[in-house]
Amino acid sequence: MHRITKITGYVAIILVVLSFNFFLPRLMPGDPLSFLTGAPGMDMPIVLDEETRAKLLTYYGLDKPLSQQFYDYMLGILHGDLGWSIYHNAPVSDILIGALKWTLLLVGTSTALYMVLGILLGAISAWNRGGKSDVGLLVSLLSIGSFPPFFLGMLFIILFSVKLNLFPAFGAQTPFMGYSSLLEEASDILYHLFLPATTLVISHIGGVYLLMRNSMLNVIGEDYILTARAKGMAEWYIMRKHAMKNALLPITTMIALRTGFMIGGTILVETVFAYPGVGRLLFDAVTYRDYPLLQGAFLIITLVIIAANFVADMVYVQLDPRLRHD
Amino acid sequence: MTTLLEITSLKTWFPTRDGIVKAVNAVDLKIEEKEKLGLIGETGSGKSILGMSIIRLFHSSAKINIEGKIVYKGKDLLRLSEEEIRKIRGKEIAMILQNPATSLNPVLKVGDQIAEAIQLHQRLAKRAASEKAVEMLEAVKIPAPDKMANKYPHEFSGGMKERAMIAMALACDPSLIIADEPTKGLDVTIKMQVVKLLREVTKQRSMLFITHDLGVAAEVCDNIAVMYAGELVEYAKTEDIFKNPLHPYTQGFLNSLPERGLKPIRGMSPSLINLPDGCRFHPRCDYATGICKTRHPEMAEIGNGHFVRCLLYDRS
Repeated sequence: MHRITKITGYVAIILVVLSFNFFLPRLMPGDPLSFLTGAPGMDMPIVLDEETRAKLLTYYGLDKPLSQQFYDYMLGILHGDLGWSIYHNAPVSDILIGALKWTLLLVGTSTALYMVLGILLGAISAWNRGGKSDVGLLVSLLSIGSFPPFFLGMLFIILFSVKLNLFPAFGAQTPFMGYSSLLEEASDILYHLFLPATTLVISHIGGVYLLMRNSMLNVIGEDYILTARAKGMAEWYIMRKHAMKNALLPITTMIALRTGFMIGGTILVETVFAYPGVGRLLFDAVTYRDYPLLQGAFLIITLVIIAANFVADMVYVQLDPRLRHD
Repeated sequence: MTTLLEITSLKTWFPTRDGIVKAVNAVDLKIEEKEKLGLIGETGSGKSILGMSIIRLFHSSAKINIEGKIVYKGKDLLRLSEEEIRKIRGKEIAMILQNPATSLNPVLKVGDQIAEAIQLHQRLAKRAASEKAVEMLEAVKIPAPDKMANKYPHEFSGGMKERAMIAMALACDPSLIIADEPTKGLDVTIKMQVVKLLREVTKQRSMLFITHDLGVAAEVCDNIAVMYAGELVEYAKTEDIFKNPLHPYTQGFLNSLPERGLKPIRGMSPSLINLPDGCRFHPRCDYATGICKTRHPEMAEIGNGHFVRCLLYDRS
């Protein structure tokens, strides 16, 4: 019963989000055709005559009534067809799949890193409340965390790519490079991943760190921590075994909710580093009013956020025996 | 009888922004081997802090000043390093904390919570420690102990949680048990079962029994120390405390029992930051005279091991 309501909930959310994904882009001023023949801000926009315009609209199915377009779109999704990108002139699903692997790599590594680091540092900080390590961590993580990711990214590019020439400034791989081995390819990818991932980690670690620190501070005052200490357990052991598991309970939900922010940050960071992921694709799709691509990208993001919440639900039950139904 | 634990002029002070909280203020106390000593007093009299001070059960970053001497089996516990006192905690001196509902970790199995101490102090393998934990649960009369060891605290009833706490304290066979209000919040029938169990399992041990439940203290304790505002005000055999209470506070405490008329002591216990001058109890005392406001009485023996801190009995 419980499971059924949950699944119904997810389905309802997906339906609502799908409708939003369809209608919101169409509320923006302009349409795909205004940008098809020239980039925005171009000196000499090419003016289409009425006949060509009408033909193009028919070609992309944009002349049909909105309700018909919506129906086609929903039907397409049910068949796994995400439509045809107007700007890229290719199937949306192909474009998305190509970009998705890079985004998953970038978001996956940085999420794993900022979560593990933020949780550990938050726990250590709370355990030494008021001590040197606590104040040091608090001040440094909060100050670096308050830089907006795009600014941090540009700073890194100027410093590490342009001035010091340590890391590449853009892309996910060195263009036109023939790899002689898998190892060489992997190291090139990691080399390109370093700056954008670091940017994301730094701009997100502060939030998780603070959450974990607060959560730990609450747990430290609990009676069962005293019980563990009365048994003679070592401080480090108490922190790890008794405190962290309890402190993680509220964090799991928060992390799932933060996935949305993470994606927002990714769009900016991918754009700054010209990283060929879904974020940059989305940025371009907005710029060129590429409705089908926008819908596709939004769909992916929605699914990722829902998946993150689903995982958080599962993890929560694993962490807290009180929520298990036998 | 030999002395197991001797506390001399123990002070536990907490410096705070509002002033120094003098939770324990120059307490002398002795516990013999196999003695059950009751420590009674109101909430906020410092009795729990006294119990916790013995094994320094405070978070490492807490700001605390502990002074005096706590000699256990010839060693001054206050001189031990954190590492050394950890080897005493749970092994030599175990503590049963108040509130079994919150004192067990909600996300760990009860059996594992008992086994971890056994594993630590007796250097047993995980498997052997788990088996020992089941034995401990059996010893405190938890039905189907092997099944219950694999359950989480929320699957235990209130009385069973208290039993689990007792099992945890007994796990490493300590010489001294500090029980901090173990019967708090239990209903009467369960309470009497827990008291009976405590008496049984402490036959061969010493116990410092912290409570404000005088009825329970009478059942369990050989001697009773009465604490008020951070210091001891009376110490005697349990029988003498009940039959012949000397300190006006002890008398008032006894008179507040339902069977003795439910008469409360007037006023409130003082803040441990701003202690009254002279006798700490004088603002609430019916017998207070002028000198009580200025002179702080010392603990004096009135006879036959009966000590009291009150100017009414001062012969000097």
